[in-house]
Amino acid sequence: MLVERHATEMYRLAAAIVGPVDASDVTQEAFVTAWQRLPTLRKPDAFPAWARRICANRAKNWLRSRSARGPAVSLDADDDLAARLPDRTANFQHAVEASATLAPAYGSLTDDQRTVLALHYGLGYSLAETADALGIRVGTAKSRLNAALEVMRGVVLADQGASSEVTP
Amino acid sequence: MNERPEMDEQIAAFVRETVHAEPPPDLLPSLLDAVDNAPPQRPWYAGLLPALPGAAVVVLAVGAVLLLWRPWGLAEPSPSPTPSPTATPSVTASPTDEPTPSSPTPGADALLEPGDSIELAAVDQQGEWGRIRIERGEDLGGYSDADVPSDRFIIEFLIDYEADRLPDPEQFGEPDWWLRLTDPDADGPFPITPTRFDRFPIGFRPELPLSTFPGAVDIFTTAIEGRIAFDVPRDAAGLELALVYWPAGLAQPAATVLVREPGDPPEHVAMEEPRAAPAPPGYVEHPDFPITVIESEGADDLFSNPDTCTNPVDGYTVSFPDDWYTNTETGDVPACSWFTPAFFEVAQPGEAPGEIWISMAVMDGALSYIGTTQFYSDEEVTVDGLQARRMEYNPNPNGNPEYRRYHYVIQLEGALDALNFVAGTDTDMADDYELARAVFDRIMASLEFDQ
Repeated sequence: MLVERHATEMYRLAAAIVGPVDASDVTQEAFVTAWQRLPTLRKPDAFPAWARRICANRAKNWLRSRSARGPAVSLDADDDLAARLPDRTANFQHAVEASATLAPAYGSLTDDQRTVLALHYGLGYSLAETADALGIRVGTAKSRLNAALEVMRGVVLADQGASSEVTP
Repeated sequence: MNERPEMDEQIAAFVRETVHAEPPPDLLPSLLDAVDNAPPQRPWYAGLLPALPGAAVVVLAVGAVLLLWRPWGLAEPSPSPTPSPTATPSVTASPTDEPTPSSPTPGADALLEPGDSIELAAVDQQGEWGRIRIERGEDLGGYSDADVPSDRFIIEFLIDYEADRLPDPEQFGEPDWWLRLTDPDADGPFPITPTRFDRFPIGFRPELPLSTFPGAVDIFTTAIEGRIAFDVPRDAAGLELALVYWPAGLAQPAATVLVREPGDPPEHVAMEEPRAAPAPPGYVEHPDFPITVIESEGADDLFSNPDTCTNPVDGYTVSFPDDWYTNTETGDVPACSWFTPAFFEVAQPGEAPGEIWISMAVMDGALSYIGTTQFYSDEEVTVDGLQARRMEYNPNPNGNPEYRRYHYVIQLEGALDALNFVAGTDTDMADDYELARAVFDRIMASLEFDQ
């Protein structure tokens, strides 16, 4: 069935953008929207890409509404790593466990940059698929990916520099 | 020494681990339940089933919703097309045993002649959320730039929403409208949903389709208007037709308006080859170039002593400013495909860095611009003896209204569904979009194909 066939992919897409805590809600909204708008889909074989775009849109809307609900945590709050993550990555707390080096950088990316990075590297979407899901041009996706990578690379380089300083 | 691949793999591994998520066990039941309890669907759904096998699968999963469906069995509100602003429309379907469609009354509230207009309340489950102005468009035998079968004709309407608040559910627009027969006993493939006409290249007709507006639309700053077109069987021209407004979430239509009395359909209009719109202002004849170009002293200065490059794969040579940069072959991208005033490095073979202002490629297959595309210019030009179009447009003006894309499309094999040379710049790519356009014109004016 259509829902069964695409539920996992849609969930992972939503989770990549908003985090696993809210992914179920976003997935549900996306499927309801897709269901209601199904009559507007003229080419049935376009459903997967169409559903991805709806899901990504719902996820982006969710990010916007979350941003509107409260300010990000200041990066100056240096109590612990989790506190240094901006609010928008509150749902990616397991990232802190994944890498204490890269997690803050990941959290400091803009939503747009992080989303492209997550879809391309995290879910294995091609840049064309990423751009299509997000309703942006491939060139824009590339620009955002490059900008995100620059931030992340900078952190890796800084970390390597720090390591080499303490490791003769 | 290049540490980037290793570094990027480290980043990719981190991202993969970070975003990896397994769906909770109750995801599927909760999804089916949510879809099951979604607001009732509207009757035109059934008419789509033959063309939409995927939808049929969903129907099986949400059979309960279909129980609410009765083509003409739902009691409609008063024949008046304007629901009471204070009334809260029912969200619970109450099917009746006998079809009881209302019969719209001709007169002040009818839309029988081009230019006739009425205003309706835009309603949702909570009541009125805004107003809708509807203007009757023409009956058309077809379009010169879109294929309408000879056994169909078109009825157009212009719809303009003015919102006081977000509707609930937030989605509204094109799916809320359809056309039906006023006589429930008459045969015919009704009700009919609005049709989107995919055209290449669009731009001959400035009207936007009405489109569908999800919640992301900022209804207070976005113009919510557009055209809906119904593709009607010519043998239905002898029947009385009504426009129905049935917003999502309501169990019954909010308004029904008589829009056509029996009469001859317009003569069929066959699709023509694309024709050019008038050249937009800003282009000038230039002594150095065979086609008009955007007037720009800056671009002229850059082209005072141009460099050249050749794409050996696609077989063309162009001139470009000697202060600018182009690419060597990278991945699947041949040399001479990207242009920019800024020095750049290719991080991943085949992927354009963010510094690129202009890109060009040869693509196999048809191109189309559909949906909400807004064209600002669209004209036919001849590049190296080949038919080409250059156009400036925004594919989604409801998203970023400031976004602009400037493209040349050249038919290399004399057909749109064959090889096309596509080149362009846009406001995302170029730091100085106007300069990029002017330089791009000059690059394209210098384009020469090997054969």
